[in-house]
Amino acid sequence: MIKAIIIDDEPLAVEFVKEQLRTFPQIEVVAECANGFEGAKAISLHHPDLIFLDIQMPKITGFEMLELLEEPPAVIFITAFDEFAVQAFEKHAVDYLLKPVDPSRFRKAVEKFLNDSGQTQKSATSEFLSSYSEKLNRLVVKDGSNIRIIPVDEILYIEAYDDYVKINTAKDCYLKKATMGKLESSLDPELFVRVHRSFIIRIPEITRIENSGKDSYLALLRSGEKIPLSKSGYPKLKQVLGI
Amino acid sequence: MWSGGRAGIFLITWWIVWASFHAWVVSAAGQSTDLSITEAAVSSVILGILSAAVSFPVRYYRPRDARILFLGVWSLLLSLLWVFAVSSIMQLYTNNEAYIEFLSRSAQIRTVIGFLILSAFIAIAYLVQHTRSNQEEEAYRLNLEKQSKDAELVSLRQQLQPHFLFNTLNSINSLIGSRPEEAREMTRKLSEFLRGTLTGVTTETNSLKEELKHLELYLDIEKVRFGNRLKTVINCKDAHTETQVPSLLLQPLVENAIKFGLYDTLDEVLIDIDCRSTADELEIRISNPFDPLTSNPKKGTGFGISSVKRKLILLYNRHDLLSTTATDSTFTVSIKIPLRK
Repeated sequence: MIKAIIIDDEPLAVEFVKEQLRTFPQIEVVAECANGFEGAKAISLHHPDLIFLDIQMPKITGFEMLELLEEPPAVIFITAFDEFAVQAFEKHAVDYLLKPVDPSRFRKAVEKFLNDSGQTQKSATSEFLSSYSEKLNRLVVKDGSNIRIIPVDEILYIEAYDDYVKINTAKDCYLKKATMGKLESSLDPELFVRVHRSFIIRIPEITRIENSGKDSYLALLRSGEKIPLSKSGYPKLKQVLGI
Repeated sequence: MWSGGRAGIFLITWWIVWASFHAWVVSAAGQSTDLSITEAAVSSVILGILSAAVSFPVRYYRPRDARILFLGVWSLLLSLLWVFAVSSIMQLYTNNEAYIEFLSRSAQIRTVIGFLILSAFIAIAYLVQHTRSNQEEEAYRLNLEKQSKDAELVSLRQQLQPHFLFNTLNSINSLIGSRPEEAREMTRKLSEFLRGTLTGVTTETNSLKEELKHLELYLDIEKVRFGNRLKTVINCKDAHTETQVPSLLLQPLVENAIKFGLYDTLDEVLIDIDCRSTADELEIRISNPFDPLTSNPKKGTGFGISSVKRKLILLYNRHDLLSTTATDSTFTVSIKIPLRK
């Protein structure tokens, strides 16, 4: 039996998907969720093979929810109007349906999933996620079983941490599964600068740049931390600061 | 358009050619090489200074017709000054009588040549300035046109509300399968709402009663979309309802409140619309819940609020008619509409 979850904040949209799925007896809807929080919980509980996911939802978007997952399942996005997302979907051959959803297109998307038990959709989704970057004004992280939303202006600096990044705020630090490159490209370049392979600093936190020996420099933060600047990071920082 | 550098090279070349020509004419008239070259140098330098003096003012303002006459007189005076200065300097330089005689004999022809050259400089400076300001004006006009097109596009898109429209159609699409009667009802409401929006765009004011009716259509549709999550309370006493208010003023604020409330919280959302009037003002307050932890109400004022604010300033020329307040978990927009006596 194939397990599916529907995540959409509009009840009638969920109902439509459920109704269309009745013609596929091999697919069982194991959960219906009205937002990304419920969605993330249900996914880690049920480990579905396929999810139907809306993008615009309360608190966190569908993309933000996917980024919380260790290993996202195959996804069929269902969206009303997101020009930029749709362009990116096309580029990575991700399956998406536009509202109002056409039943025959719906069938096609599901049949495509059934043909290779979701392998194409799964890899398309993860490829899409690793390259799609909206300009973020907040980061969503998992903190134990809770989900935290961190506004970017609370971030001091971000550090590489194996497969994760460590987001340091004044109060706490959080781990998020992401790459430094992906994060760098989705943060505002006027506000964040990658000064080192393993460090991104929020520019207003910098109080001083220190020379720490021949050709090596450190950035001193307001909170007292010292962040090393790499050979290419130092000129980049100087350029952003306009010095 | 000439760049400064290329124009400079052109002028210098022209000056050298002109000075050589001058020296050749003087020596052809039987004067010595020394005198020819000196005279050519002296008169070219002075003419250069004078043409700069005569053409500079033209670069910074555009002379009207009377000024053009004035500039003609001006260049005639300057050419007389030029002839006088050259002959004075040359008389200091030499006492060769034949040459001095030649100088005074050629005074008229020199004045005419000087006048022609200086006038030509004014004409060139005038043309350059004229083209430049025309180009600037053209660029300014194009920019203005583009800005007004952009604004039109934004307002059009806002009125169309693509997100609302497609989601509503999706709800109808879903209802068609399970509850066709409700689908029909929703289609009617959506059409009435769109019709009201189209009419509202072309009319200036509407009674509060009609505006609230329009709003209720919108809220009914949103309630079908969001199910039990959305609750609304409208508290507007009968007494106010005949008051004329600017059309479509409330809808963007309510839309903003719904978006803000629904997308920022997970629980039930209560949108509260409250009207009250004093002797000279009608006040309408719209409030919605928000999460103080994740949203900054100052930032979250949104496009709806700023567009309504602009509209109020345009209509009443007052900046104090729209205000927002945020308590721990409620965000309130208040607008005041001055009553016409």
